Amino acid sequence: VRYIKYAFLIALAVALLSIVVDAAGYRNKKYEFTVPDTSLVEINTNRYTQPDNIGDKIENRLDLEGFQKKIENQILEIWFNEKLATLRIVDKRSGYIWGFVGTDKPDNLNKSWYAMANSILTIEYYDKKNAEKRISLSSKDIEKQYSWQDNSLDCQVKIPDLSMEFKFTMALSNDGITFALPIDSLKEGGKEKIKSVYFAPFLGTTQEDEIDGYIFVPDGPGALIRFGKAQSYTSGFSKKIYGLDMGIDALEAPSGLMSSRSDDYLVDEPQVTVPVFGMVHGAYQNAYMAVIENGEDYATILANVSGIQTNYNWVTARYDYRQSYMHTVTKSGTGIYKPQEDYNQQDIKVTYYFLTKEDAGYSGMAVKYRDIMEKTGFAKTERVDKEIPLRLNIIGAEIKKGFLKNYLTAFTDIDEAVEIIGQLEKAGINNLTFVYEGWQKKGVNGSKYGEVRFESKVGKKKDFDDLKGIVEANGGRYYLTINPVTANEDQINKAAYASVNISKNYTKFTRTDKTLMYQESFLIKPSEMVNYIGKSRTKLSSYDLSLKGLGIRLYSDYSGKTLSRSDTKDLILQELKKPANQNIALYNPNQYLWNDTTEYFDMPMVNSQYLYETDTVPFLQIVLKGSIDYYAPYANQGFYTQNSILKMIEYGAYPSFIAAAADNYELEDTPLVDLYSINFNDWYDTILQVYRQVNEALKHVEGACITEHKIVLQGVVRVSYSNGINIYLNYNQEDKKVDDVLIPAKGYCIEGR
Amino acid sequence: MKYIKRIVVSALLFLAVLYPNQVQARESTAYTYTISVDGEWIRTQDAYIPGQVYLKGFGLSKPSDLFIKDNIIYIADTGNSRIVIFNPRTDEISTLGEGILKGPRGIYVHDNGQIYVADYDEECVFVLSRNGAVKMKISRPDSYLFSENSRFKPTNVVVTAGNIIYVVGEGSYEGIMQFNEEGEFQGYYAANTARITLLEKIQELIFTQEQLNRLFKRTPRAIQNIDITENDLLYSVTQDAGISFSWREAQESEDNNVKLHNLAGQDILNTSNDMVDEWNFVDIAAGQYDNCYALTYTGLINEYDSEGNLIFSFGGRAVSSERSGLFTYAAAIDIDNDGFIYVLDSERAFIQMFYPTEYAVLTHKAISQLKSANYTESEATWVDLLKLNGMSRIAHNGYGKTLYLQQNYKEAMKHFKIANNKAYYSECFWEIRDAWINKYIGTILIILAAAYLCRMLWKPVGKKIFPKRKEPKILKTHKAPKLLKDILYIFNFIRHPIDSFYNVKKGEKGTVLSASILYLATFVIFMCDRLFRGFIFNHTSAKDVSILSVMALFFIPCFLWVIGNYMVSSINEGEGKLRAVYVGTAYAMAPYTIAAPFILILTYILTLNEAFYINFAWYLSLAWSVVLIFLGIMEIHNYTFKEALKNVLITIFFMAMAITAFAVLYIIWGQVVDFLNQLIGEVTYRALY
Repeated sequence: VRYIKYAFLIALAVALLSIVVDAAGYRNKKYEFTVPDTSLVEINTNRYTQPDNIGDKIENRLDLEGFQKKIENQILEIWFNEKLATLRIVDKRSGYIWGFVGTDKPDNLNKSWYAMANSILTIEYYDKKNAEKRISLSSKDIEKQYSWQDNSLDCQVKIPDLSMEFKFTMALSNDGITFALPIDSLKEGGKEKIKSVYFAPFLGTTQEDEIDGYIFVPDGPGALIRFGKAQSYTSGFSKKIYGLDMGIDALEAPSGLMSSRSDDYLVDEPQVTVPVFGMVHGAYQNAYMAVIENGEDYATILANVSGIQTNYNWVTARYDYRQSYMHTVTKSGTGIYKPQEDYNQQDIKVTYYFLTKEDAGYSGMAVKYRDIMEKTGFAKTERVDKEIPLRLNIIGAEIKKGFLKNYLTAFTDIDEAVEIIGQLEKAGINNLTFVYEGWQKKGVNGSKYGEVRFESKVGKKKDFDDLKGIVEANGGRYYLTINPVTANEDQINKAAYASVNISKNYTKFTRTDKTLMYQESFLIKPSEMVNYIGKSRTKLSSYDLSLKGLGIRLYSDYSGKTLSRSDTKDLILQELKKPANQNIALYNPNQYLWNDTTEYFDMPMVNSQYLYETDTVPFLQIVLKGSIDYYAPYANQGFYTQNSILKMIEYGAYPSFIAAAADNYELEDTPLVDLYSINFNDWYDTILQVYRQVNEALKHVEGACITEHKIVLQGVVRVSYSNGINIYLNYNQEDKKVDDVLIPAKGYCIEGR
Repeated sequence: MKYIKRIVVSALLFLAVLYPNQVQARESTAYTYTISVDGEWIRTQDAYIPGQVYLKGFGLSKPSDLFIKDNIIYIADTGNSRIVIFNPRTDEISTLGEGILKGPRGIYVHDNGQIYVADYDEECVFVLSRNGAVKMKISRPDSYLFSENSRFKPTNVVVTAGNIIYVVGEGSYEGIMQFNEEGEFQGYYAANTARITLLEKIQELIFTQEQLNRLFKRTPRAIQNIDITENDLLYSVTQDAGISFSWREAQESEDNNVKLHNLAGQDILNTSNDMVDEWNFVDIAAGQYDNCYALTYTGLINEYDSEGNLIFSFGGRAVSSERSGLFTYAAAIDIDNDGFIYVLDSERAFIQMFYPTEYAVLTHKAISQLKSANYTESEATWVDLLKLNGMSRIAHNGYGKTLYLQQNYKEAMKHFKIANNKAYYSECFWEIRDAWINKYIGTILIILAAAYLCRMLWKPVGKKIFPKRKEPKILKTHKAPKLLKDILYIFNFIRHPIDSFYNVKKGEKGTVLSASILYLATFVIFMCDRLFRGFIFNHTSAKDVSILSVMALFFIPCFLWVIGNYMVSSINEGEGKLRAVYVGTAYAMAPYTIAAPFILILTYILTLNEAFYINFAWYLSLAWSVVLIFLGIMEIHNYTFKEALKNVLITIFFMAMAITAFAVLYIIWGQVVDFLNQLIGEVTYRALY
């Protein structure tokens, strides 16, 4: 009985204990805080390239009935139908027929759309009441005289109703067709004003997903819009080449969040920096790429997938002679829209290149574009280093809000900068692209515009020289940053420096966040901008300069004598072409500046992520790799995950960091508050980790060009280089094997060493 | 109305969105925000990144709710009167409820597989089995408990593990409707309380019950949507429907718009009513770690921790372009087992998924570790977080708390100061001060005792050495300059106010110059008192205040008072001259001028526990000054008490009128300028074009 009693007691104790333990376990419920496997949901987004559907051969959907062969060479034949003003292009290499829509009007296009879809030329104009109208070459209201030469067509166009006339040409050259409209042939006589011109807007158009293929647009690094079922979107792709013209286009931020959080929540969309677009019918089968050679300053790339306006997929460029703008009547900004008085003085010239087989894809287009660039004078070769460069942007001094007046905080002085370099050197990172920002008197946003003086809290000129010596002795490069393009109200005398837009207001960007130190930043008059650059180049002739904003901003100015966009471009190019023994680094520069760029900062890595965009492709990177050293955006601003590292390797972009010696919370109450995390020591380990991974891959392809970029499997990429090396990357959570190469999960593999 | 117009206009125009400051290649299309140490919105590292878009082009029609159970998404496809069941991992799609449902608005799937559908058009809640058969239909309750005037228009439904059914309907002013397992109405739950204005409070005091009933019907704000946690607690969001577009006013509503209800229906999320919330929430989803996500129809998603602190805010509205991660009209939000967030866009009929980044996971980890008293681990996590954003309030607070709980008060104090957390800072300071006192109390006592002893010893000795001890020099001596004497006369007002005012009136004491110096001194003291108090008692940060505004706050009332009082008294048989009023007022502020510096010093020594002393002393000095001003008026103008009171009231009225007049003039002037501008602009336009 006693044993039973003991047994009972023990059992009771055990039961109680287990209840207690259980309860405790319940209370301290342990969560696992691990990042979930996001590889699949990530690589399916339009931030990555999707695998091509290698399917059946694309059969011809168009025929040549009703067309006459007019001109031809070894590669292309041009067939024409004068009644419809439409053409067919036969690629002799593949027998593929390019054209617009059929010769019978389809039901799903109205008359106006059908005329535009089938004509090789469509113009838009403002009528007497400034309403926008459209007329296509096939219209009876247009008198046209075709005169066919050996391998070209000259066409004299006259529109009696609008008292307008001009001449355009279509010429055949090797593997391309060139459309051109010289400006001196354009004559306006009536009250109507020409607005814009399209050449062959529907070339290669398809309906929904009748065939496999995609549209290519240079949105950021490049974007694909794959053909699919019709879906409704509010608007198609429409982006001005070289970005908006801030002198004319509205620069308002959207409202509509209706919340306590400010409305400036959108991440800046990347802009179009190359005048190129294209279309692919069947991956690695048929494609064309259009390169705009003249008139790109006023051209807008338009891409529409079925569901937007029509049921057709089409891509084109619109060349604007005029655009309407808000003519303000009152100070509060109300006014009316009216077209510009004078038209833009621009010749238009665009060439469509036809590609087949392995060239018929975004990768082939990029390689082709690089060839074209080289032929037209783009001659740069990448500096070949043993180890890849690391870009380190150091913040020197910045102003801080204070009582009675702003005061200055030194984020990194010269001694601290030396220490930072020392730490990196200790870790074996010597090839630095060292960029000093905020070295000027009163820091990044406090310095007077146009002044070139060193901030004594950061260091004396001699210290800067010494630092330069240290960086360069290690094999690095040393840049001082200047922002010649924008300034806040305290940095400039607005009347003297700020650019004025066509509505006669100061041209400025405004952010709606009221807690910012400076909500407005003013664009500088192009003449003053060039002055400042010139002054800096003479006064700082021993330093290399990184010019913020210069590469990406192109705008007209109406402050005095009107400067058009092209004038501004010429001014900038003139200044940069002046001989000087000095390197210039630019941030995401437009194509016309590439020849004058020694280093390319802030390479875009993702497109705008419109819902109709299906892929991001490294078009820019394929064009530039092997020519210019280019760097990814700051990794410590949200670009440091394993996928980001892989993307840097895939795109051949070198890592960048923005850093300072001061603590992060020092950023509070400064204009740099958006940087949120820049302390060097905090990021030291990440810098090493990112650099080492990227270096391990990219050091093998220093100076080499990308010959092909291909998605082998979902999330598995092969990048082939001209020196025979293939880099395989795997974004998946599990190992993958392709071409007999095993690529580790979330890793890469280099073959051909 | 103006606001609406602006929204429509901006939606129609093709707007360029450009920010010149930083070029960033972010994965996300909209920034993630958090609350900065200054209590303002601030951008931070991406916490959630838009992933895939699901069901785009599938053919949903005005869907209004989604619910996720075991990683399967159930969608109330309102326009098509059906339920769509979608598996995002396999892309399998099936539908349910065709022919039964009319206008499904809300959906809930129980652990036992039953599907609860709130049907708005059919005015009932359907309980469906796994394969779509109707098991029960809950219609408008017949119960006397159910509000007579209400219709039964259910918009969402949730069910507890114990099968209690909670239904929220259109205009749920009375609260959430509660049904038992059999579908019988049990009563209302967790209603919002109506806000009472000051006027209504007064009316309540004066009016009879009958009058009150006739006068106004206060309807509390309706609950918009609900969600249920793992522990069967209910989250609710409330919209300020009555206030609609003017969100600024809504923001000032005293009640929080996000609530977590306990069994009694009380809000246990944030009891201090100071949440960072929005007026236009449409849905809420309980998270995995006692957190929750609230969604506005403009596509903004706020994440809160278990105490109602804002962790992140992300998402946004697709205004002029359709980019992933932005919404045209967001309708519903839910979370799956991986912590992926799914948001339903009703207008565009698709589901946008967001996945958490390392930063988000780290933040959740830190908050959870702190909550479960895991200080050492939590400390490391907070340090990591501070590396990623050095200005996040939640991070500094969290880190400070772990340090505080580990009794590292000095470090903790630093972070609480950065995070502007006065309560915890005060606690830390108390601890440090306490330790300091404990450490030095012996020394201090010894020094005091020694000093006393010295004094005792000195007295006899000193008398022998300096037989004629002099009185304090400055006050009594005739050699001191007149100005200094005049200024120091201020101390006389403390002891003999009436005599002193008399002397001022007679012109014997105090000059315009001395008074001016006193005004200036008082202003400096006033400014320091406003801006440079010790951290614990400082309510305005000097860097955000312009000196002009402080000057205006001090000098304009002084100026108006002196002028007004002189003018009023001169028509009311007052004897005082302008000089006397000017000088008298300066001296009358004596108690404040003298006491405020000492209070200022105290703010650096005392903690919130002793706040009473500071407040008391401050108000006392102020009250004393007011009394002195009043006495001054009586004396200077030779008024009786009644006359003086009348004078004061009229003067105050004059001051109010003067300020109003200036404001009106200012506004009218602006209008006139604007009108002229428009006219000239219009004329030049017509003339020139």
